[in-house]
Amino acid sequence: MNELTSIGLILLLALMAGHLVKVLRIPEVTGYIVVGVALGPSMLGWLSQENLVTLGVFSEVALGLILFSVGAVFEFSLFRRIGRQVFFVTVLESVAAAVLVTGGTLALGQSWPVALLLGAIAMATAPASTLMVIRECDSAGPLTDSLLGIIAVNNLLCMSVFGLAAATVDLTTNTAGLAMTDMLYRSAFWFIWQLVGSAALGYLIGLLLAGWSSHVTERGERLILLAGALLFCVGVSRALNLSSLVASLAVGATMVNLSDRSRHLFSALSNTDPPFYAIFFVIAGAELDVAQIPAMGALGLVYVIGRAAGKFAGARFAGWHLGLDPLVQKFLGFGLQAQAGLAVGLTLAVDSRYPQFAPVVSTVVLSSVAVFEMLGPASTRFALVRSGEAGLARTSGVDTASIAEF
Amino acid sequence: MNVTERRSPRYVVVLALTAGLILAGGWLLRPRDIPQSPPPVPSETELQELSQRTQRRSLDSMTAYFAEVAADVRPAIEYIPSMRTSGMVWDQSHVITGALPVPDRASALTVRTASIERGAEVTSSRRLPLSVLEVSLGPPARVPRRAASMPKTGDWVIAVWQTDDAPAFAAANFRQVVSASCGIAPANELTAGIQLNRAMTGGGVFNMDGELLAVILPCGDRIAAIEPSSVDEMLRRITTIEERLLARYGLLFSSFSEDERRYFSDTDGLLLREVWMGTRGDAAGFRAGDVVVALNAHAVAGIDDLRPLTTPSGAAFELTVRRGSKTQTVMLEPGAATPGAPSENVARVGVVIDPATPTFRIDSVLPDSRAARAGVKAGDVLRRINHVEPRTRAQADRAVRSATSTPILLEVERDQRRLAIVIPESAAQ
Repeated sequence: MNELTSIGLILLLALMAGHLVKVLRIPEVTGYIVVGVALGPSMLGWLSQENLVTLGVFSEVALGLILFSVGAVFEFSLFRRIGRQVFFVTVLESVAAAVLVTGGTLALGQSWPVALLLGAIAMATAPASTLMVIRECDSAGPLTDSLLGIIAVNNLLCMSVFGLAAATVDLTTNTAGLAMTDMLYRSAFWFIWQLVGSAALGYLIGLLLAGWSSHVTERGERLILLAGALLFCVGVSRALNLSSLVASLAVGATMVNLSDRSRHLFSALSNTDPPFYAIFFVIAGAELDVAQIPAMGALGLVYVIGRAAGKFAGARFAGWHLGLDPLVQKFLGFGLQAQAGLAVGLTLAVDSRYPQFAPVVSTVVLSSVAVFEMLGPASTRFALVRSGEAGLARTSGVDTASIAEF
Repeated sequence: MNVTERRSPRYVVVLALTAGLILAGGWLLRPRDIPQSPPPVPSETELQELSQRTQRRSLDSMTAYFAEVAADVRPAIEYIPSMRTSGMVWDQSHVITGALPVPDRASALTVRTASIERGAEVTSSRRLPLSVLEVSLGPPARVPRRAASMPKTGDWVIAVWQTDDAPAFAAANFRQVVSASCGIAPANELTAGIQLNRAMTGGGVFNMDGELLAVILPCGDRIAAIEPSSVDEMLRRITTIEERLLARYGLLFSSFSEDERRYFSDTDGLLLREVWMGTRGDAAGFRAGDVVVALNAHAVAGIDDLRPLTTPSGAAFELTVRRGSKTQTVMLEPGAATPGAPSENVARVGVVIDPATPTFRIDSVLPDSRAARAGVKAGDVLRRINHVEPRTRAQADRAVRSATSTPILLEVERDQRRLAIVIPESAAQ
């Protein structure tokens, strides 16, 4: 099947599945993912591995768009208001998940580098599916705000901790035979480069976007500007070995703080991007290897249970400690379960950097991602609906397309 | 910090500059070679081991290939259990092997084809390096294909022979074909990197297409690989009446040369040129230099007249010989189908001392002298001059220097043979 046929089929089937799952009160995102799983190499095989590689560009662009939207959560006034509590909740839920997974992994007799890497990966919460469910539910309110803040901070934190864990593993299992200082320099450099360098790039592109957008009035032109800036951002990130995730986040954050017109931009975006997202989630589904799920074994179960429990307990405790709204305390953990792209990306990093640990880490993470990516959106939807925030955005007259606009 | 502050140009510019510096600095300071698990470089020993394994594998496959070629040609090589030697199937009824030490009984020879053993009639020779076994092999017998051309130097060739319990082979590189002689016959010898030994006798050397290049035969003390065309020539010779009589009785007859004819005064008959010591002919009392004029009262003019001697017969043969001026009768016991027994010691060990008579050993022969031209060689032992045993050194010297004006007949001993040599008169020069 050629790529255009694939894309057409993906969009049509995704739309059909979206209609179907609405009846079942399941998020559309889950429908898209299920379509992806069905079409993908692990089931029907209509989407071949080659198709997925080619369509990977769409995935990357879509993820850039999503992170750009999420970046809006760093709007100065909003972040000053909820920043501290968001940060506290994020640290607690992430660390709890990491500690439980690491401990459980060690208890099962795995080596500590494997435990450490799995723990760091377990921290990640998928921004894309979470944001999509929030949009779909038209939700607004303290839980929604917290969720948006958490998924933004969570990904930065997860990358930082993974960087530290990788540095620790590097330093203790010095397989390349490098000098200690050299090793330290390499680990520290890539860790800092991926965060600070990506943020710097994001800031510069955000600046460009903000400056230019004041001269662009037409909606179509705004869209061209936005698409151009984001593609450029993703491309340069790849070329400089930066994190496109952090960079896109930084573009969004810069944009929202520097330009009054950001609202128009985000609006233009949200009217155009659904096909991208549909493709993104179908591809994400197709890349899930559901056949791996039975192979996850005890270690996979420990990872799934440890991560879920850690996120629930951490969020709950943090919410209680901060004296948040009881509904937020109760449902925050449900909203943080989705896991996808970042975890898979970190697994690929493990593959190339630590081939000796790759078999265990890949099997566990990829099989658990299949579970979390299927159940996570439903869990988030459950949280939003049960907390009563679903539909509030619509009724309160806020622009439904983009919650993250301020 | 309020919105206005955040958006003040100075603030934005400083941040932008910082970001640019971070990117530029980071890009410059990045570790040059990103550690991406470089492919492990194999160590010297690993490389060595690898190459050894590769060589080993290719040697193994070569050996397997040689074994296939050997198995392919094996049906053409028989085994002769009583002689513990191989035999090359030459055609539907002949098997060739090395010159056999003559067995006591004809029945001792069998040829084993696969699991069947057959009796074989043997034709042997005293002067050729091979024996022919006449055996009915039947149509399934595999006659080896002869190579159309010799291989090039360096090509692989394989020697295949049979041992008691298993076929054996040895492969090596072909070197060249040299002209040599084997026994009385000229022979083209194939040389290769194979160390030939007596156990391979009767086997063959083949090319990698399984085509016969040479037959392995003993040439005196050495073992040689002899081209099929030379073997054909030897086969032709081994069946002549002269060779058969020599094999059977140790007597070598021939017609006269011009000089000899003059010496023997135009006598009809055949000259008995050699008497091999320890043979039946020797025992019967023949002397080199005898002229056989009649067999069983039939005049003898040519070698064909002696054919009856080659076929087995119950009665003794009566030969009329002229020795000097006397004519006498010598009785010859008929030979068995296979040559008579005793020669083995003599022919093989090669040490016979005749203590009864004083020996006159010829130390040297003048080059280009009449004696030299007639075939006298240093080392020959002079036994008789004109049928008379020399009594003194002076007689012997005179004979050798040939200071006479008449031809003389010398009987000399050489290599367990007694030879008749006629030295022409000096006037002939």
